[in-house]
Amino acid sequence: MKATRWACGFLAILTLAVGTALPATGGQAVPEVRIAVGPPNVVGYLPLYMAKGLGHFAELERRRNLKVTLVDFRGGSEAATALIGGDVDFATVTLTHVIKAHEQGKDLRFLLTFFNAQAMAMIVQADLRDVTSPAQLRGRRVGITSLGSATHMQARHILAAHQVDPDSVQFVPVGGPPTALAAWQRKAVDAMVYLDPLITMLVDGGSARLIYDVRTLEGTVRLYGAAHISSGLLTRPDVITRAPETTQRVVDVFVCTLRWLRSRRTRPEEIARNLPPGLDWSPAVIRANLGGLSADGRVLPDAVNTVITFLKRDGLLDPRFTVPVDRLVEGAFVQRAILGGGCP
Amino acid sequence: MSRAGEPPATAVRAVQAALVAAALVGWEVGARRGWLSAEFVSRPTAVGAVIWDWVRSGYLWPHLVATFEAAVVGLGLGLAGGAALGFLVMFVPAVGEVVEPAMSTLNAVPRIVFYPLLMLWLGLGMASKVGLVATIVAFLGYYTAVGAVREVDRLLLAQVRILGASPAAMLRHLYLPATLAWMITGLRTSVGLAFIGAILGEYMGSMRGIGNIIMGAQNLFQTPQVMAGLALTMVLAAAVDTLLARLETHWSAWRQVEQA
Repeated sequence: MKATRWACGFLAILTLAVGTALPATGGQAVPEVRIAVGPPNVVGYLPLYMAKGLGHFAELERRRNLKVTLVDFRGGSEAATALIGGDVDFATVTLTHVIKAHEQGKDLRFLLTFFNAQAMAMIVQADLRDVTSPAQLRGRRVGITSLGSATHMQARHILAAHQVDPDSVQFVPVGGPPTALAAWQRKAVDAMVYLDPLITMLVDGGSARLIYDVRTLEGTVRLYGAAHISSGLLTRPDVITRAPETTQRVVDVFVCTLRWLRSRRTRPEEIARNLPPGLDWSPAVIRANLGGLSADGRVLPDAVNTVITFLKRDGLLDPRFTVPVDRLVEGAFVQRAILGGGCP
Repeated sequence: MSRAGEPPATAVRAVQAALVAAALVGWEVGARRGWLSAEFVSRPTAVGAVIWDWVRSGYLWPHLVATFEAAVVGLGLGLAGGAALGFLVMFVPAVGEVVEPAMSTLNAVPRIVFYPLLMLWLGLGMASKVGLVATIVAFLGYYTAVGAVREVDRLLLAQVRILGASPAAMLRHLYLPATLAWMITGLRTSVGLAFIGAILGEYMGSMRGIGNIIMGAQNLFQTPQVMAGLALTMVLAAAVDTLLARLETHWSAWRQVEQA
């Protein structure tokens, strides 16, 4: 009887809350900009979370009457799909999604680079003392998130660059971070290509040794011959023509944030302290990734071409597909932000 | 009040509470002693601290309300729509012949596969989550209605017909009361499915909701936050179920009298 009363009371409060929440979503006084993020809380989107942590989005709302809402998606493809579908105005995903969208006739524009290096690294089980380089992984089990994923491709590139036939190893899909951690601890894999914070966590915990680091610009250039853009900000051409001022303000925020990050690249503790509540990346995780951070958001044409070349080489893009860089990239907003130096 | 041979309700409650307490203590001790990996299962005290922090800071409410809204509105729309179609199929045989094979086929398709399409059609706000929940539970509403109508006492049906009841009167005075208890039972079975649908929808793409919290926490290895999300879902589902159980007892009182 008491339980029923409790349940009724609890549900009544929630129903009331639903009732009061509904009109709030109806009429909006402040114009809203939605940014899709897929997947959320990964280090590759550090500038996005840093902008939030530094209060730039709150400033935009207060001073420029522009509300920024982040929408989380399970993965980059879902976030890009939401952008194509018109549900969001911007997305922070990898450049690969822009190129793949163009291949399918969908027009998206890359506005700004977050990282010119890949946010991944290859590790090996600490007790496999004889393995000190990817060159010694022939016949071993290598963990990746899933077959055909970015970690899979990265693993193949690292192996090929070390004269190991990628088909001579056994790739093991270990899934998302919790299952990857379980697979690592149960030694279901000998080596693994994965993202942070897992990589730093395992290396610092002593169960893993780093054998190839693509998180640094040097590691990326050694592998690809040039910088290789990973994540950044993109939008649809109609957003650019319909709302150029809004686009500029959003780009301004990120250029300003990238400069702030750049000026503190030797102080990861300060960066960690300014992250938004709930994001608990350690200074070690941040330090490991700062090397590949873009200085000012500029999209380097060479780095775009490297991504296209390797997508074709991996069979992920039609070899006959061609697209001029200026159809993929809209660089004018970053240029203006750099010259204007405008933080909100 | 307990019937002869049944343990008193207070004793049952005491045993249930003791079992829950034992499980929580076992979990806490197991994680502290290292028998269970705290990285994978966390500890009840850590989970409790997270929930308390969310409640105190006000962080929880928009998420809880979003999940509750998607689950309950989707549940209501899905069951009502499914049940209406079920009644239609039973009362108009021609419709039944057309619809029945399609329903069996569609029921076999995992609805989550359609979710990206639902997001494109309905947007990524509440409507797509409600849509996902509704498509998941609609089939249960449909099959419950079909089964309930089949279960109506044939003798009673014949008598009502002889007395000259109109189709509307038969629906109101015979079919609806006779099927109501079944529908409430169907509703109880669907509560869990509705919350699964709402959380899956939020997990795929959302601005808020318990699924949104779980998705973000997983990428940060925040097991206490993931467990707190799961615990809150259980509380929500249990609250809705307790209310429905009460309704079920109320509405099926006549059936117990009949059986006696």
